[in-house]
Amino acid sequence: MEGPCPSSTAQPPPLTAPTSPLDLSHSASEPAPTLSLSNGRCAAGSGRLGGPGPPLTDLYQWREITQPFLEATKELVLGELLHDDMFGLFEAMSAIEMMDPKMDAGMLCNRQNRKPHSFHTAKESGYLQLRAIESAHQIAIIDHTLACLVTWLEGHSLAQTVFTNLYLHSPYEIDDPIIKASSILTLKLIDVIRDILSRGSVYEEEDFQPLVYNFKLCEDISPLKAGSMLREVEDDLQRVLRNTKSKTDAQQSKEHAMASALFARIRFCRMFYLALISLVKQDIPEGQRQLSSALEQVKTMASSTHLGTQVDISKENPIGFERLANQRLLPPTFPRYTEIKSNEAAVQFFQRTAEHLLEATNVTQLNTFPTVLEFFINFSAHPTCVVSRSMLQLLYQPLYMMSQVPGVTCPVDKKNVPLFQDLLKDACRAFIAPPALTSTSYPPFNTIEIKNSVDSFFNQCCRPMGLLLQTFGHNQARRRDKIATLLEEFAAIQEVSDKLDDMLNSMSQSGDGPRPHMLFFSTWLLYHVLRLMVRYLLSGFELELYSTHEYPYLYWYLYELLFPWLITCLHRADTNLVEHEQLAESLRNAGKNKKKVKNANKKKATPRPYSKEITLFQGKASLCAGYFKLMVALKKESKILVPDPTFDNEAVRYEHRFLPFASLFTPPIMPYGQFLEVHDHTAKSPSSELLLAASKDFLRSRQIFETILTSLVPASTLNSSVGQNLGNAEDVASLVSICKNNCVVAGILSRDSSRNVSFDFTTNSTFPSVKIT
Amino acid sequence: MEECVTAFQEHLSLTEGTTSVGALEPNSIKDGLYSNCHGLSSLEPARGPCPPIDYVVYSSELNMPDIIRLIQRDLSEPYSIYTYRYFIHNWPHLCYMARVGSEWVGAIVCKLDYHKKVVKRGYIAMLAVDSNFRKRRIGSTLVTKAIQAMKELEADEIVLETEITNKPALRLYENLGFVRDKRLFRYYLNGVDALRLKLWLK
Repeated sequence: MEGPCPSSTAQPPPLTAPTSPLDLSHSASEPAPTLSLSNGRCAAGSGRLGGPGPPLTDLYQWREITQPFLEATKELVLGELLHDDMFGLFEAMSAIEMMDPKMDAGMLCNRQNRKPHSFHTAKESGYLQLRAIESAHQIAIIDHTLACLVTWLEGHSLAQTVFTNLYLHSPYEIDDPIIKASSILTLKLIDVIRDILSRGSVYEEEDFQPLVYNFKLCEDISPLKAGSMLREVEDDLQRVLRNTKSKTDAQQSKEHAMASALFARIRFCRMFYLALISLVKQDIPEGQRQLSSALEQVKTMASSTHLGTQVDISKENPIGFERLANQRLLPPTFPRYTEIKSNEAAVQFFQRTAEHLLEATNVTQLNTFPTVLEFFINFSAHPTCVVSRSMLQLLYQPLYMMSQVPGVTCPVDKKNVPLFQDLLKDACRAFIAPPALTSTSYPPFNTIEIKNSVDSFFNQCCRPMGLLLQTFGHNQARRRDKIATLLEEFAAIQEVSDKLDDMLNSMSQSGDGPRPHMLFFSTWLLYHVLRLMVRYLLSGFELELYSTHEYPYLYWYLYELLFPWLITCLHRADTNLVEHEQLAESLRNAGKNKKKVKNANKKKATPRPYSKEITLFQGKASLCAGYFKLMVALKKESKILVPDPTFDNEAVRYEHRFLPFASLFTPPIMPYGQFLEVHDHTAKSPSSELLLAASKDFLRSRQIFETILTSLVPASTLNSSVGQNLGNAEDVASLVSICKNNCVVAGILSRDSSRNVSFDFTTNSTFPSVKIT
Repeated sequence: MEECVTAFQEHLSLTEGTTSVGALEPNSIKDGLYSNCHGLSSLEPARGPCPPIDYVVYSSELNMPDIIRLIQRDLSEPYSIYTYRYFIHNWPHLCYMARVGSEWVGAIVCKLDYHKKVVKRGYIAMLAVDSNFRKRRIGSTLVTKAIQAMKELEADEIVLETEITNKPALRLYENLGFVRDKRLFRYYLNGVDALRLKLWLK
């Protein structure tokens, strides 16, 4: 909609010659016009950086135009604006009103009443020490730099974090070996982190700002050389440590403590950096060794932060940090200061990151797509920093290789890496044993035509399945939106699988040979699609996106459609796997003594492969059914806040909430009318009955969860995942306790429905405990 | 326009501690039930005689200083005059003010534009009510008037962002049927998350 724009462009008064104030090509002797207008946008931030040029007073002839300006504005009526077409919202937001202290960062009162130091001014004035820096300062410099790195990795700009360390502006001019070596390493660390994150492609602007502002990152120094510079420093420190072993000499003790603190930091930085380099090169054992070595230093680092010089970096300080050093590189509307993390918190951050990186390397041990998928899902469940999330994307080679642009060198040994489409075929075969994959030497599955169709299908599956893994690398908020887009991809591949299934079905009906082909490929895809749909809905609870009055349709969708379909899927897979196994068994036993075979079969009653997962879904279905009945009853009793109906329309809201499901053909979307029918029918029962029924649902789900609890592994043993969506022991245990609570509460409410309730997500971030307030 | 909205949102993320809708005092809306299932308001009226409140639409640049005064009070980093003019000069019919006697006590600033060429999206950019005039439903009334105007102009949806910690704003909008469409991690550079609230009209 283009509304009437009342800001008309007034006719500018005639000019002698249009001149842009920033246009340096005109000579200074040209007379200035009576009113100077800039053509187009006034480019903010186009001031020259680097060396000073001639003073501006020499370049122009300045004329005061206050009076002519005021005269000219009399021609405008109230509210009329002189408005250039190119001055839009972005320009409006970036503009500042000069000499408004709140906006104009250049005013002295906003610059701490002193000009910020640059490397050069600091060096010239002696403010920045470049040689023989005392140990306490050295510790503080390193600690504060690490803290700045952490702050950068939490979404802030380098200009306001790491690059406030003046030493990093010209590291080759530093004489002090410790600070020189660690400064060079810091710059190279920035470089490798940027590389990892850019290749991982799972970060967003709120996670990470990659801009380097043209700073040099010591590209001329190889990783090996940077490491060896630090190694030399480490060796020197070790010598000091050996020479200051005396416990009685106070001076020696102090020196020892300082050297020990510095050694831990230097070694940590060296090992952490080299580990990242190793992992990028796919040298996993070396990377793991280096990460472990880095982790060994953390304790000493944490216990010695107090040995560094305590400074207030908002003021002048002896460790070379200048908060506003790079302010000119940033747009004027950037906030002036970024709060830097504490040194203690920074050490913890690095420890956690190193631990997560170590954990991520375990993915290289996994050989099947389902185990890898579960690994990615579990890894994404605990909050990890953007570095480890990105690294995981690179470490899983079949995925990483697929995403590479052909022709660009990737540092990976291609020979032993299985193709992603082959892994997907294996996964599908293991899931449901389609004869098109298991019996490829039997007609009709042995024709070239069929084999090509099947191959083509799996090649096309690589994209959605690859995106599925990538989805779990994003931060949780973005992940939910990514799932919505991913469902569209799956809708497309579902069309392919439907056609393929139809074709194979009709071709395999006739004749003898292996089992006929049913909806095998579609079932395999559907399993993944349904899991994604469940995850999409449940992540809304985790992200605190739902109002309580929306709970009824959300829980209904889960217990009425999604969980039952998942259970059906797995039953179908189950049945086919067993059939396939029995057929294979009978083929093996053909000719053997039938009686012996029968007895042998009786003894080994193989458990159905998906029974645990099915049980888990049954438990969750019952849990959601309980919530549904509870919510219907609470609504009846007016215990749930409902929006004003002037603008709110539940049917419209429902449609939009479930819109990402609309692109799918299977399962078909359940229309609002269906929900309303079930809701109204349920609401016919008296509240006390509903609450009692809910209580029973919670009890049943608790019993179901308890049957599988003993067979689950704790979260800490993630890498022993069996490739099934079972959740870990802690997760299911928390569900049991929630069911216990809700069962009791629903019982109480059924006897006294005047009580108010609230929903508590502290025990489990997805399924709430109902509390009586 | 799309980039502008994103840029505006980015700007809001850059101005630390800013709520795009002006911070309402925590007790501005009575806790608990705002309306029960039958749509009746159970809001406690303000103490003392309630002077009449006039609601008017923006008329001229003469309104601008009061609008800026009202909005600026709740912001830690100021918007430049150009930001106000961008919204109000382009969509003056979507800017409402509340007046008690001769005093301006509330203002709302919105825009209405196409999103991704297809969806007509209304955006509530700013909302503020003078702290001495809280608990009189001025905020809700201003929002309601703005939504009504946007609805009449065939808006498909209305959106806004607010800090996840801004409980009074969340209550105000959720009572009108807004739901939380997206969580925006670290939207504000002080690390606070935001929520995108959305009201679907069609």
